[in-house]
Amino acid sequence: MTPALTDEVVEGARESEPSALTALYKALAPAILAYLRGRGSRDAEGLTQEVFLQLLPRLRTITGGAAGVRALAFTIAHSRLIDEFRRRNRSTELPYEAELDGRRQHSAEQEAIEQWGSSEITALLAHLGDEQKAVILLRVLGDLSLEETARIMGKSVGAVKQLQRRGLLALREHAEGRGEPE
Amino acid sequence: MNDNESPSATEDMLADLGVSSTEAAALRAILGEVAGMAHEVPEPSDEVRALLGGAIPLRSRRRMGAVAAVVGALALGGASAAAAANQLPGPVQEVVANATGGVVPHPVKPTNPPSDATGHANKPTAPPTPKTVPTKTPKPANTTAPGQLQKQTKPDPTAPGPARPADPGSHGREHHESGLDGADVPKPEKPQHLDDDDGAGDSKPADGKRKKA
Repeated sequence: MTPALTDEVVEGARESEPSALTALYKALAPAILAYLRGRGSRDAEGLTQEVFLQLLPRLRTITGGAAGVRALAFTIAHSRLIDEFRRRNRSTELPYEAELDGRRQHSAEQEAIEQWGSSEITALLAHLGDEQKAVILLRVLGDLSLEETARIMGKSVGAVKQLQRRGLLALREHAEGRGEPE
Repeated sequence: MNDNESPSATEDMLADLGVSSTEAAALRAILGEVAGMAHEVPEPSDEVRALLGGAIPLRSRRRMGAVAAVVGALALGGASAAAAANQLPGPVQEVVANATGGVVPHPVKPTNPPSDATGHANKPTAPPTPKTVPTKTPKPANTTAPGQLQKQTKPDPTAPGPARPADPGSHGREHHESGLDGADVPKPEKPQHLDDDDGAGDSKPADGKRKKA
């Protein structure tokens, strides 16, 4: 279990206390890494470092204590992830050749499992749509409110609520299916 | 993550969903597994490790250096420009002239540059000369100072005559001097007018007198 991010830790980190900064890193980095991996980043570790390179110098200007730091960290992570997706899309401008396309061998589920190791929860998340997955991961891993999640995703609270509902129902449905054969 | 440790967002999600307690328990377990994904602390990179040690980020240092360089360049440029215009106090002028001598492409002269016939150097020294000149020499130039005056006045009426309304005193003087050459205006008016050169309002009555005459 990773340590919790408290207001005291954030206050110490704002004063550049190394122990508080390390505690902040240990509290936030696993969740950010998991979010990036869960969303399908191909360089989750590198993006996690980029998030902290942007986050740590801004600590003095952040308001809202631990919640504010957590929200900003996931905002940066989300932005970096979108950048990676865009870079990936731009890099696929070569003429398509089916023989060279390795993607047909990998479903999203397989890709996640190969990248992250085989786990049931990874397989479950692979059934969700991308935005549903984003909402579930932001809310659970980031412990963010509906409003914060909506702000990060650039959507309305109602839209996020709907995505969350459908995502949870899909998880339950696939979890039931997963449990039936056993 | 256990049920007792589930974050508040998870409970909010389950409450919003409005499912039965058994379904909520099943979903809580799933979301607990999702939260359990965050178990691995990634190894910080060298840059992040430096930041965690309380170091100033390298990017900020570079930015601060760039800002300092720009400010220094602007200050140097401003000082050299002011020195080139000979607008600095004497000691400062000399210091800037020495400092920028090998750096700035245009030469910065030390204090009190010799007054050549060039326009920039004569501008500050122009006001005292007219008062002494007209009383002694109306036309022929014996010394260098009247020669400077004539050099200033002769090209002005031809080339930029109407484009210099900002200096009414000199403008009126130029017209009067050119008018003196051709018309039969008594000579005493010229020194009067040049003596009153400082006041711009005095030139109009002189014109009026001339018209009446």
